[in-house]
Amino acid sequence: MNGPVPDAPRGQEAQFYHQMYKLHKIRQRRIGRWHDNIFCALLVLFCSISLGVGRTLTLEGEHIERMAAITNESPLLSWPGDKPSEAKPSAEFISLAQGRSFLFCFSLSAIPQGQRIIQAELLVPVTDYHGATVRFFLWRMLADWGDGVCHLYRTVSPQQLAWTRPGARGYASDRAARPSAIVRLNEKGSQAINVTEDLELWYAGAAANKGWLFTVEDLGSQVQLLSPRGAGARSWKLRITYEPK
Amino acid sequence: MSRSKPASVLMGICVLLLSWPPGHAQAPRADSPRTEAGSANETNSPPAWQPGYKIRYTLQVVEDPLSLTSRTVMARLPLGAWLRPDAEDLLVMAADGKPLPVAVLSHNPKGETIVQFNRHNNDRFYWVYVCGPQAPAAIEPTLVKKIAEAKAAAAEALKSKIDTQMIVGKRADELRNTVDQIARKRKTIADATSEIAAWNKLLPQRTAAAETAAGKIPAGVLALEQATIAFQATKAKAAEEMAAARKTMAEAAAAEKTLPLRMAAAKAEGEKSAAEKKLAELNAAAAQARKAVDEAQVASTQAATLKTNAEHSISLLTPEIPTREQSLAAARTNAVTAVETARVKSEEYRRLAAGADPTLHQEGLTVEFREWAGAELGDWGVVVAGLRQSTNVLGNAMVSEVIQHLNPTRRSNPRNFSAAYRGYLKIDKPGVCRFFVNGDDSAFLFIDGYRVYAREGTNRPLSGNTGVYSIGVDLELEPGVHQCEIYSVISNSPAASGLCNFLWLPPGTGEWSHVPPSAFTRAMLAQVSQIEAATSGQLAVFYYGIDDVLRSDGITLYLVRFEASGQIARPEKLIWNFGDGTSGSGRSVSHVYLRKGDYEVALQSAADLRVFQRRIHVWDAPAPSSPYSLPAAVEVLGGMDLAKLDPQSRHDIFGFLMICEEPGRWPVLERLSRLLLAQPGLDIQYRMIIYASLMEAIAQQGRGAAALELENRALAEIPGLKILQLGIMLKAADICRVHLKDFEAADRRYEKMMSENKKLVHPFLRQAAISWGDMFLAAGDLGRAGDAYRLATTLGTKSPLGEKQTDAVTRGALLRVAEQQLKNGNTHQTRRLLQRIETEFPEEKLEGLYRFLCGETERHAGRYEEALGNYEVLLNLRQWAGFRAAALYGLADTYSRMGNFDKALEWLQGLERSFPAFYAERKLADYQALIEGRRKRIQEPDAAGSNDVALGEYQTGFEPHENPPPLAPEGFRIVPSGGIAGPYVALKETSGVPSGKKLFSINLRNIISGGTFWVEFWYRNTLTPAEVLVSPQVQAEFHGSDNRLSSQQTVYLERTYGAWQKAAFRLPVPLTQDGKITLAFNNLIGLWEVDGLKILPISDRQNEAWRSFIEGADPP
Repeated sequence: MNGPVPDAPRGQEAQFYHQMYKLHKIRQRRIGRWHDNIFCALLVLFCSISLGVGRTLTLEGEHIERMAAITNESPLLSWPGDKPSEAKPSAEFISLAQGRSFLFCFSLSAIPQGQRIIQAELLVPVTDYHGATVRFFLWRMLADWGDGVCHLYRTVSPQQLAWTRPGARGYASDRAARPSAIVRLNEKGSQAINVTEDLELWYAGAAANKGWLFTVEDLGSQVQLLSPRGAGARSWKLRITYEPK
Repeated sequence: MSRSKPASVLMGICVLLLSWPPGHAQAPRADSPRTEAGSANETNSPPAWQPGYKIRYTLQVVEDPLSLTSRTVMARLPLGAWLRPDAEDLLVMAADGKPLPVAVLSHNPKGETIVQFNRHNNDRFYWVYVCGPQAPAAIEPTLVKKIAEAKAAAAEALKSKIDTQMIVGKRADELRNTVDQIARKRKTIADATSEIAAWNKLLPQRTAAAETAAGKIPAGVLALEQATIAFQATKAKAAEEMAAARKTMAEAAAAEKTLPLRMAAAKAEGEKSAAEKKLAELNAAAAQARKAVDEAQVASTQAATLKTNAEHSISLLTPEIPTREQSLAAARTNAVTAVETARVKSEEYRRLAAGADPTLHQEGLTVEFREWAGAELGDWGVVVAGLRQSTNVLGNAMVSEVIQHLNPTRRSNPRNFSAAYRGYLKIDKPGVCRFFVNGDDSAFLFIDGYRVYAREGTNRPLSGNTGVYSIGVDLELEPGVHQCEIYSVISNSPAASGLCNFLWLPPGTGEWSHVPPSAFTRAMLAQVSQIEAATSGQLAVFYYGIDDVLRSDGITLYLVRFEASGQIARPEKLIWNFGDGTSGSGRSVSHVYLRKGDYEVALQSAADLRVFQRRIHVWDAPAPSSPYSLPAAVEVLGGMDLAKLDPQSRHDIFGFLMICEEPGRWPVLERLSRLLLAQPGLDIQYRMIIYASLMEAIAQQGRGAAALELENRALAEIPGLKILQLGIMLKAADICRVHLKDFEAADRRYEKMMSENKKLVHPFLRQAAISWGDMFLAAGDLGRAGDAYRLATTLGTKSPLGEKQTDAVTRGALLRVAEQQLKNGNTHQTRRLLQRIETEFPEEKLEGLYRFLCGETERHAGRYEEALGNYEVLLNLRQWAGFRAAALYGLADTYSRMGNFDKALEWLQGLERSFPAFYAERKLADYQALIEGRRKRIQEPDAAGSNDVALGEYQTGFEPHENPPPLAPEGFRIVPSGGIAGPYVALKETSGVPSGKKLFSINLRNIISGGTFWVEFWYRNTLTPAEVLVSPQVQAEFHGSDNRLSSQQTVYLERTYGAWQKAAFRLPVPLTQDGKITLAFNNLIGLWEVDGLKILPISDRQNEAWRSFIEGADPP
């Protein structure tokens, strides 16, 4: 695990403040020039305070505490083995297609207490994809899942519990009512997915961390990801930027 | 294959199965002799109401009784739960008041009941009474005893007959085997003879070759001897010379001197070696030739032995033939005797009982489907135990043959069901028939009550090449009618498809074929044309069909149509229970189910009657989804008591309403959102989504201020959760901007969002900045709008978009792709791309190409006000004057689509003046003439012809009271028959051969040009063969004003087993004022009913809303 490292998003913030300043100037012309000066001073003061305090924590594949591939082609298997080229425990790749999804859950215990999440990005290496306009979806899970999770059941031990809809597709019950992100693929390589909202919910305790689900919703599309626990650059990463409350 | 079980046991089991539910015999009456001459009795005056009975069905024979020789009538009655389980309260009467014997062939307590009764002369109408006292007393005891004795004797004779016929089959099999063996042996002899002849021809040649080869050996030996001698001599001489030379000179000199001699010796040695090799070759060649001779002799001998053996076998088998022929003849003689005995006994029994049991006329083929409750599949004993447990009747039907490709009662599940086919085979030609039942898992065939074939256990259907006689069973059948039953049981086999096919090899044929409909006897077919109550109160049954399946983003809504049929004076008093916890009222109702499967639906029509119950099956019907279904589904949901649904169904409906863009959804969404917010334990993000949707729903209904009141309530639930707060604040700001037009309040909110979340990285911030820019744009302040859009580019992601060179490339590419999509007519894809551009590259919102594409897309999507707004912004951008002509045309076309023809013509005339080249190139004069024609029609409406439709659409339920009167397809009759769009249907009966092309055509006026028509109709069929025999289809054509064919569609119709099913398709129409749509019904066999025909134009808005729904939500 990487320790907290300082983050310096100065370029972006500078552009933001520039645009904000312009808009405020526009707004405040009605009120008076003195207001602009105060706003400007406050802005500069705030910038100088805030630029130094953001911290970034990067969690890697080894922090994924549980994961499973499920498919409607083998509705009772986790990591279904009947498509060995596409999904199996020892495979280097995870292949997503309509009806074939991937569940995973990061442990977030490494984030220090008393912080505020500013940004969270999930970085996932895409090695291949097929289809006209390929996109894949990331969903926050609402239902808990565990031992024996498969297309039909979210767990089989100690109790057999079915998904509301097979494949963890229950609207607002198995998974969140809206996807956390829709990733449109223009090129292979690492895809940065904004998951700030989910991390904020989990970190604040407003929702329990039951992990995420990757799906492909479009018929005919296929997305191939590197397995989460690859070494170094091949590993999935969850990059969380936070600051003290 | 097993066919040796004791026949009595098997018959007993078979009879036991046949007798559930119990066949029902009525009072002894003489058989109803048919009047051979005269006309059909069309009297539909019912007999006097039978006392005590509450319900009466009027049945109408669909064919001309005069054209049929059938002695019985079969009908499928929607009895629901009205019939008593023992069916003892069923009474059938003719017009003259005569009770007729009736048998219940299949009773589904939650559906239809198939009854059969004796024909009464040439009557067209019959009446069935139910819900009453026990039917008139049964047969006299003495006659009962006589009938029972005759039945037992007939059964015994039948058993004996089948035994002897089975023996005939066995003997025939033995004889055929012997003859086949002899034929094979003869072929062996012929082959061996020709082989021997070939060897005899080859042997002398090979012998000569061997001798020739052997003859060359002595010469070789001689040559070797000579070479050896020469070598030895030369070698000795060289040695001598060497020895001599060594004495006189040095070694080297001696060697030099003797070199020629030594060279000669070496050469002689080489010649010797060559001679040795040559001799070896000659020996090998001789051995090879000898071997070939030996092989030929062996092969010839073997062939001779084969020939001898075959001749010996023939000599042994040939004498068997007369014996086997005699055995077969004897068996046949026995069979003839047994057949005759059985016939006599059977006729005696029938003579006694025919008046009491219509099944004795041996007519009609039915199938009954049950839920398989057995534990396992094994032999017949195990299966019959399972069948006894399988008391849940799923459905039944009258069919014309045994070809089944699915479970028609549970179309979405081809497993765990049994099918019992019961009918009568009509054998014309005597001889041995071979039968086979192909299908999933187990199948058992009974002929004349005797199990003759069994396919036990779990099986897969046979396919591919199979030996003709390697499957099936032989059975000698005499000409006549034979009872035939097939039990097919399909358990939980994963690969099962629900297949069960009955195949045969009739005498004299060598190829398997399906047993055709003509091989089964037929009863006359009657349809329910009326249902009445004894009292003047209401009485109704219902029919149903899957209207549409709306699927998007993993949520599926099944829109099911219900139609009550009967004596209905006050439709609002019809109370429906849809089996999912909800209820409704009315005559024609639709309902939304959230899951496929079985539901038990009840209809209460009168307080003094039991409710009518029917199990319905909700499944993924194959018809394409209709743009008209979205508003229909929203309307249905609006009428449903959502609180009575289970939580997941409520979530799914919420999801549906979020995706669906129907304007009518807002009140439903408000009601549902409030209901969901009252539900504890929801995910907090989901709650905020609900709050936002509730605010939007309230605002959309003109109560923006009330919507804003919810903001603080929502925010109070999410302290510290900045992103969720942003979502609520963004919604509130948008309401201020869009609905309340309070730009100051909106401005404050946008500004607050920006200032309080400077460091946060989330798309909501970008969306807020874009909305902020939209606000300035709406106020006409392009500069501030540009600033806000530029601000938006810096928000929502860690790396601001638009900075990298690849972003510019992507942005340009997206615009080009959007332009191309628009050119290809993919307006929805274009809209999606524009949305994406808006989100990822907000600055583009002030670019001319973006605005032009937006205008074009909105115009084609039916959002005319938005389109006008985009064109107007574009016209204000001087640097984008290149799009002005196209924008002017867009404005004209938008007004034309809005029906504002004056404005449209105004813009077109302006376009002609300003851009004459563009006007000419696009041939807009034709378009202008079309608009002028349309305006003229509005101003001076002409008298339309009787078949013309003023509004460019057509709908009919084939109800006689419709105005204008309904048109029926050619050859169809409009009759009352339990329709799905009113009680009347268009009906066609085409027994036996496929009907030709039956046309239906309708003239349409004032067509929405360049659009699409939605064509749908409902159909059901009975006694229709499977698609493997014939492919019924409907071909639709559109002819424009010049009567030229401009578009064509074909839809194939399925076998529905008497259930209503919908067929639908889209039919594109060209730029035209008027036209004609023709539907050609082809290849119809059996009884076909058509109802609920609709030909409707699809508006741009409808089409866009539908496509948007189908493609699902795609939030930025």
